[in-house]
Amino acid sequence: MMRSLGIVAALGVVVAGIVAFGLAPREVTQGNVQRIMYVHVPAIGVAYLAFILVFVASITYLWTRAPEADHIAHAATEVGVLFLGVNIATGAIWGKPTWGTWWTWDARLTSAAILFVVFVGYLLVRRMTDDHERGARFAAVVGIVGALNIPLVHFSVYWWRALHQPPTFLKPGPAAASASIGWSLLVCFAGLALLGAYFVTKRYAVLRAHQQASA
Amino acid sequence: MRFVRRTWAVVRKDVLIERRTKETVNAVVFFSVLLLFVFEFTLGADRERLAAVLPGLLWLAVLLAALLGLGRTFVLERENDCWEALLLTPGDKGAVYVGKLAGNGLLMALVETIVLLLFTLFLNVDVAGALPGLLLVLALGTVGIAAVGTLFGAMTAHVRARELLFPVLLLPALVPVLLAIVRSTEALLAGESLGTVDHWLKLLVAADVIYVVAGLLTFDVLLEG
Amino acid sequence: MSADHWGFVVAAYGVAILALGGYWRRLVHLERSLKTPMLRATRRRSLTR
Repeated sequence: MMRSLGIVAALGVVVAGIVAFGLAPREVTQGNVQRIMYVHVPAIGVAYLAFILVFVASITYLWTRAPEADHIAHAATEVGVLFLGVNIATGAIWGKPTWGTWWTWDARLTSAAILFVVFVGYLLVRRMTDDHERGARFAAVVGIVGALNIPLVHFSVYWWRALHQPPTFLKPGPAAASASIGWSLLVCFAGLALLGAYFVTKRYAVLRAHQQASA
Repeated sequence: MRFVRRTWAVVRKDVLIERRTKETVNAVVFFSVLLLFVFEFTLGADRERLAAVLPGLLWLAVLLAALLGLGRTFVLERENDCWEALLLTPGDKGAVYVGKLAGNGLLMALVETIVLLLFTLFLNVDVAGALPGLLLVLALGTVGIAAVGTLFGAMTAHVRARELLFPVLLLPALVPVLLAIVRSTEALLAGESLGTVDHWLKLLVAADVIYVVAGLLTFDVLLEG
Repeated sequence: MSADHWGFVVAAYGVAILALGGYWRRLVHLERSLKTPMLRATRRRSLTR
């Protein structure tokens, strides 16, 4: 079952690649560098889905203490951090030619960076707690607080930036909402989401197998 | 009412310990004075620039001092088996959480007062006009910082690399609160009315509610053996 | 007509492929080490942390 998911995910990624480079139109204002968006934006979408899963799984774990819930939370955090990292890196690479600088403290990049540190903290807590079960409990709390914080981070960072955005500030987004760009984005998101789901499933399986082996 | 009594017992204990040892307060006050010197040395020459970054500096001082104090809030329990005693508290540990939160809040209030005084005296900040609004922002911000700080403080008290893990967990979690209080302080010190920072205040209230509720619900879990 | 900056496009997708591919390879390695007794020593630290 996992194998078929893997195959579907691989197909999804291939289709996404074809759409991003072949079918999506060349954007008017930015040119082809805008194609980076087809990996940059879906990546954060997948990361958000992953963190929502972390939230639910963490609450479930604290409620039921079922190790499966902990494994899901752990796997989802790793995948979330991975895709978030991809989002940040591709965002910086996109920003260099369009804004002239690798990093600007704009709302989206800043929010993503903060979230990245929060959920890396989750992984650190696991790593640095000697007792495994305790680490799982602590991490669940970090996951819950971290996920609850996401909307707060968004609003605060957006408001913080909104007052200080220079009027000539260019955002690396498409000039106008074009239908074909929208569809391409959706396809790429689906492809990356399938990959993310495959990763979470596989990571979960590994965690579960290890737990059963040492039980 | 047992909840209130237990909470009060925790607060009283911590305040008494602090009054007798003065450990944390001394460290925090000393640290704040040091920061004052650093700010003056690095930014003092350009008075205008100093005035512009003052709200941020104010809260930086409070935050760093808070990190010192909050990080130790549960470490002192490790001596004399106090931690075990805490774990054996019958029933809901929520009272311990609120008690610790209140104690930390008091500590932070003390730090804020000291920092504000020092800044007013030595860096020439005019606080008078903005004071009522400032106090509200301070109060709301303090609750938020104390709520998360107490939760993560309990978590990291027994972790190997506590000095590293505590700030790594706390600071990103506090970014919304920090942004809110710095921006509000900035506006208020510039003479704006409380109404202009309305959205920040709402965010602070929302954050406080979320953090305290999350803390109350998950604190038991952290204290399990 | 704005420049296309294909170099940056390649760099961005390259980073993504490296990161995602690297994670996939790690998963495969972990899975394999579960089945091979010899690799159990390296496995223990990475799996649960």
